[in-house]
Amino acid sequence: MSKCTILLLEAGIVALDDQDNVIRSYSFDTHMAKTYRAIKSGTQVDQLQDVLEFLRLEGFDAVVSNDEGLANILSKNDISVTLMERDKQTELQEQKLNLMVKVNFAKNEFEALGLLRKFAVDLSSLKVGEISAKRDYHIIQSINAMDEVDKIINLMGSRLREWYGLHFPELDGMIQNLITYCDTVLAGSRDSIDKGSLKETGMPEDKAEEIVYAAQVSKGGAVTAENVEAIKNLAGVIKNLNSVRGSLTAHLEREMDSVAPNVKEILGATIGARMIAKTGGLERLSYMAASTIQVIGAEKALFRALKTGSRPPKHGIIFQHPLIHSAPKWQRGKIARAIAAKVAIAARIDVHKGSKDSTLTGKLDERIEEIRQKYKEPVEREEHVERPSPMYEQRRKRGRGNKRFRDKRRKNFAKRRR
Amino acid sequence: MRSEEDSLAWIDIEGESRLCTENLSKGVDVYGERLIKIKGVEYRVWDPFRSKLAAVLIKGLKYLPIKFGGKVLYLGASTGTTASHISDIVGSSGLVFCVESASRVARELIARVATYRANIIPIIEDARKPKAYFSITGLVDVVYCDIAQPDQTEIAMANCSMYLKNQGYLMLVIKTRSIDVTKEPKDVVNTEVARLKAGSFEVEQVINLQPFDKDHAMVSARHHQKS
Repeated sequence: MSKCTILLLEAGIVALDDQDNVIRSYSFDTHMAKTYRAIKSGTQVDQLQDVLEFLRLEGFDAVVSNDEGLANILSKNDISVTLMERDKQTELQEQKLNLMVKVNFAKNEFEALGLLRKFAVDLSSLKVGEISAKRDYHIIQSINAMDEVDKIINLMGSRLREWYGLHFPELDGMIQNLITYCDTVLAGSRDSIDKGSLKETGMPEDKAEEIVYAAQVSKGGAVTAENVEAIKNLAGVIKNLNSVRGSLTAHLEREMDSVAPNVKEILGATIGARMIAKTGGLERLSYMAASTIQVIGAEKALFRALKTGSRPPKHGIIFQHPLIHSAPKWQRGKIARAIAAKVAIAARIDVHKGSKDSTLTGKLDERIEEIRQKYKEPVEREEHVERPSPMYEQRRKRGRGNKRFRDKRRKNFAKRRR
Repeated sequence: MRSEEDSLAWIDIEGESRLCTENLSKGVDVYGERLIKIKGVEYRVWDPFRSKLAAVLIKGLKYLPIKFGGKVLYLGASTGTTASHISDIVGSSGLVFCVESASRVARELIARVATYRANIIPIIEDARKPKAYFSITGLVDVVYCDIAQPDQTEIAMANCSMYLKNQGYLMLVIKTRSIDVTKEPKDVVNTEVARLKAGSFEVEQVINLQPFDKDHAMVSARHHQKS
């Protein structure tokens, strides 16, 4: 019975006969890492043509392979193949360098090892590069950047108001919008503010008049020209940051549309991105149950409820959705559940199909309308019974002062008891 | 001729005796550690707060199976902090196969460690799939496992049965908080040790890593391959 062992090695393919002598070898000259990887995942590549022909021509009774991917490719080409046994695999492992030299993939074992090492670095770098290129990771960075820029704008905005407030304190209370405040600051010190320049910033006439008047009777102190310049600088930076924020928002919209259009359709670009960021990736989000998605962001309340049996949270960051936070309190939980369910489906479509499915929002709107109609009047809330989840029930049984007891045990873990 | 005594040393630095390894890639530091030259030989100071292997040596590990010229399979190599010291110890004739699945830290492993050390072989794969590893040759002398998964012991054992030589050693870091955060650390350690014993491992030593790491223990066990 003629047997052939066909091996997938990092550097190429080797065929052995039933005496384990080498009959053929095919080296993956260039693109070793890509070729090896493709074959391992069961993709038929050009480099395999010769191997397949060889096997077909020789017509062996039995073909054994060390790799599942290669075996699959062979089966698809009507070559029946079995997988190598574990002991043989281990043997192959130990003889790998030797084998590589025998088939001339390397001149000596030292070189063979060097080849394997280079292969490892190449393939590892390839994998790392691919993962970093994943689009949803950029979305996570975008939304985090946006939130951080927001924080900075707020921080600097407070500083600006305080600083300029030394000179014109009344202005702080008169202008709520930070950008308008910045524009007003950029118009100069109190004496140089006039109605014209104020109206240029888009301010209504009566407001501009008020400000000009307030500037004249202001109780703030005088300010040097140098300080005015410094303050104006700050205001300028805030305006820049604001436009950066604007471009980040637009960027996020476009990216979400391209990467997760269905999630974007239901939650909007910002909240959708936040959810992806919270879970660590679109794929991770797609694995989650709707009930999890409903409470993402409310972990503290969730685990507290599970441990102590207190009232569980109805919504996490999904609360930011207008349909939820602007709904009457007694409807919120039901709406949150409905939306979370659709988000779960949307995420799965986005991961696997990628195209927009317009039936999702239709069904969601129907359901929400149903909730609105059915629960127009406030619902009487049932008395909540404190019942911790079974997982945590055992911990409770230890009795009062549980936390203290646990901490003490942990503190003594390292100490030796005499 | 470099003997294994040299690659691991206790050096007096500013009055304190510090654990150090002989630097395989002269002049290069991996994570900002201090480089120190004694009698023409360059050493790297090994921080026990950053590296659990150093912690366990300081806490009195009786036998270190990682030796000059040895082959080690490191599961959970991360950015390569500990792996680089293992690389120093095994020297240029040894090999350290580093398995790490997270691309963010693997990037550092490749750029800052693998590029400068010829005995480091980076393998970006999930430790749950030892069959998928590439570039491994032969069986290893030691499997060093430091991964944060609830089934870390099973993963370690699966890797051992495939790549660890008979009578080889498994050094397993038990992260009790990753296994079960609701149980007592001592109980978690006992359960995992029992698991090892049931799986044909002879447990030689269990060391608590306090004060270097909270709620961590390291187990040193010898593997008896079923024939």
